[in-house]
Amino acid sequence: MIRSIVLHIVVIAGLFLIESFLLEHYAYHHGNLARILVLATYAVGYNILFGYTGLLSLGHAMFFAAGMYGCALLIRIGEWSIAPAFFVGVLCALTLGLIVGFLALRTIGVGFMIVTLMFAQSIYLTALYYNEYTRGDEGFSIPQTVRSIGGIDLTDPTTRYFAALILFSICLLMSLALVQSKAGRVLIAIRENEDRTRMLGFNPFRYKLFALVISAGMAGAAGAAYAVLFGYAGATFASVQYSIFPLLWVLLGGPGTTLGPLLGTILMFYLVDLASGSIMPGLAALVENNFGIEAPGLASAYLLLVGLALVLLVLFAPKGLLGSVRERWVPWLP
Amino acid sequence: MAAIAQIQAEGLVKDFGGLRAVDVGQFTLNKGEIRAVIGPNGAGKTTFVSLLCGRFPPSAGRIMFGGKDITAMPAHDRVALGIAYTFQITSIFGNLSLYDNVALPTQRRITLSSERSALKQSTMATLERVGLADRAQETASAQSYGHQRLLEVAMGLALAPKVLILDEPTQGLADSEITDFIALIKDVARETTVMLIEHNMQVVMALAEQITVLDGGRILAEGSPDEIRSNKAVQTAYLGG
Amino acid sequence: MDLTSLLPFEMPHPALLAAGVLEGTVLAAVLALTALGLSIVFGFMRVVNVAHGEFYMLGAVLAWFVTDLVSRTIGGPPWLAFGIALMVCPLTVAAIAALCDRMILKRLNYDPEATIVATIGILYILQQLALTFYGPDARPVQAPFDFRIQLPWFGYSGYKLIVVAASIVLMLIVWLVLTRTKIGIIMRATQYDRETAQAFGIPVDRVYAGVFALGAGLAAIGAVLIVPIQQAHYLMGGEPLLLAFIVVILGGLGSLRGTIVAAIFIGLSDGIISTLYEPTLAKILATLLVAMVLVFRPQGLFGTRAA
Repeated sequence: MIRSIVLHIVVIAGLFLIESFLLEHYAYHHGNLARILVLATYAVGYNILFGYTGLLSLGHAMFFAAGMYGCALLIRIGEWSIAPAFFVGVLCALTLGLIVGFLALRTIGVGFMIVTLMFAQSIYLTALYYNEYTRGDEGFSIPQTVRSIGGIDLTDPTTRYFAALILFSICLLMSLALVQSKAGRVLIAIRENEDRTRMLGFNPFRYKLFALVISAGMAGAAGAAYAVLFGYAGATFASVQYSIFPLLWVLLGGPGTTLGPLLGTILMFYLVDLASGSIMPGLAALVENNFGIEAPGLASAYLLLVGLALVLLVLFAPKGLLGSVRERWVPWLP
Repeated sequence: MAAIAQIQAEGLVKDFGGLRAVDVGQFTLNKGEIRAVIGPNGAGKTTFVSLLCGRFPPSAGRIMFGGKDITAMPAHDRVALGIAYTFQITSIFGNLSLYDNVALPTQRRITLSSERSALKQSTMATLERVGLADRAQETASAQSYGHQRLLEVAMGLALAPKVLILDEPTQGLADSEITDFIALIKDVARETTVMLIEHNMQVVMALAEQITVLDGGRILAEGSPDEIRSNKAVQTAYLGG
Repeated sequence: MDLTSLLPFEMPHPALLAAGVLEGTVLAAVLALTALGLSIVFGFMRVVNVAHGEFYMLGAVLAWFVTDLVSRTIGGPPWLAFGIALMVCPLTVAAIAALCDRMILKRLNYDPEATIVATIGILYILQQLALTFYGPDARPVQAPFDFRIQLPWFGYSGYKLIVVAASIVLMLIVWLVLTRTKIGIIMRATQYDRETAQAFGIPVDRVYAGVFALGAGLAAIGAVLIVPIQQAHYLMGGEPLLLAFIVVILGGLGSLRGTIVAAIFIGLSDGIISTLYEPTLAKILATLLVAMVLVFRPQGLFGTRAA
């Protein structure tokens, strides 16, 4: 109990302390990490549903997008200021989570996956349909001038980093508190054996709905934060791909571990970054020189990486990195 | 002392597809008794008790608990009301510790005094009662089969139910474990109504005050152990069937 | 007085409507083939193959390679190149699918959730391979023949009608194989009880690989038939996947009859709607409908509940 709290504080403090160092020496990674923290927040939310409750959603992008559009459209069209727009964005995601949960949680297993996929797809298509407001796949940007809270300029790299860190820390600590609470024990029990949990007197539907709404809220907060901090909202974030990403990050880092989502997001981000930066173009050149096949697509092969990672993880490491660490060395890891 | 009905069933029927699995006319379980439900394989014993605890809804009929109609009540609410069910196929949370397995039903009960110490105390007391306290932090799936069965019973006990329904609790236990188990149930029965499905006649005769014999989903006979032993219909069903 | 003016929507010109129905029929035919593949795989293996659309795409892209190669080396009339493609591509795709089954799905013990994640992975890998070796462009494949059928309002491509006829014939063959032959009996025995089937000497592993290959092959045939009408592109798998999902779910997961009925319904309405009206709105409604069907009527709109 104490150990795990200390561990999380140390991780957050570490992220806090490296900020100035990164800004001075590695401005590129500084910017990346701010983005990663926002996306990791999304993954933390996903993990509550998938990792701890055992519900595999294929449509979480709809919650991310609900937060993003709820916030960004109010700023763009309603000319709201950042703070209230952010909260309305989160509220949109929570509401959507409640509605989708009420319906989708009547199904189980594969049914749940497809229902969430379909709901997300209809939200994505809706974003495209109202092209007039959302500008579809192309998206729209939020001008720098409005991106500030109470005089604090959110476009400044340091402020942006800390804003992302604060959001991430809140969600991370919330997830830690949740999984160590009594409600968390019920969620884990539902993941392990839903029928048994019911026969111990818990209403699985209510707990699953609770997990889904919390999860959706965090996804929405991440989406709204993305719009505010990086000044952009687009339908791509509502597409199937952005539903698959958090699944991949959580699978890589370790489903059902509080720190897994962060680890998975960082690793996958840099794997893709590294691959499209040096490895894959090198490979493309190799293929072209040796086999005479022009392979321009290979140069930015993030699809291949994502695909391979999914297949290999599900085949050989379904517990992910931290899940395996917990199994072998650190049994107390939350 | 006049018997007070704890659970009553009237015209209880369960069909699976075209198959009538359970067709129980009138059934009464009295407060404080130990009832054994016996019958050949496929007699509908598990289906019958599953109807009582609400794992699935009946096709027809009514179920009363303490005079209250609970026919439409979902299983988890029945548990809250005081009907606990332990599974025939060991159904524990294999990846969790014994402590967590028992803390889960315990925390259902003591939500009001929501202190961790109270939860811990009560959980450990239950584990102590079945003799698993010294293994509290071990993983459930790593335990021997006998210990897993005991854990299953502990999870039922932790609910402090009014009625404890045990589905073949001694299946696969060693003789010494069965002796301990009989003692445990006798102890439990002082404050709880117990209903157990059992194949082991030694256990049935040692524990049961009343026996219900099911065959083909119907109640073939009901009565004290002696009455059942001398019942012709039961003898044919068991020996001739 | 013109009665059509009373309608809440504008009545399309009969020629447009006829065109919509024709386009819808072609789409319905190809869609039925593709959806049938998805339905067979789900029905017999309980595997939701998210990579199904990519097998379709692969069929189309390979068709371009094969026809291109044949016309450059052997030459000859367009129907020769197309005929070769129609043989080679579905078989190649089926072989790739069988390989995926052996190397990935089998090792996952066909766990429903794990296989979905794995087929998502396969989807990305296939997409990347197509992008890498085929490129980001859409390319046409020449139709095997070129004649037009004169209708009262306009001329219509004879090839499209051949596509419809070919799809119907293929579906009939699949139907007969599944219901009337020993292969069908073996497949159903395996579906019913894997262990018992194994005990009776049915090579369960090979049946599974075969079913998965058949499913992918059907999608690939549909794709080869469609490339003379629609161009081959590495992202073309998404649309048929979604439509096939809709069809299979509305028709009742694993129900072959329901799948075909739903394919005709969805194909026709999609064809008519996208010729005449705004297709995005129709798609939004269709996906919502699918979600609602799964929630409230999981046996599908046309299927009957399995016993």
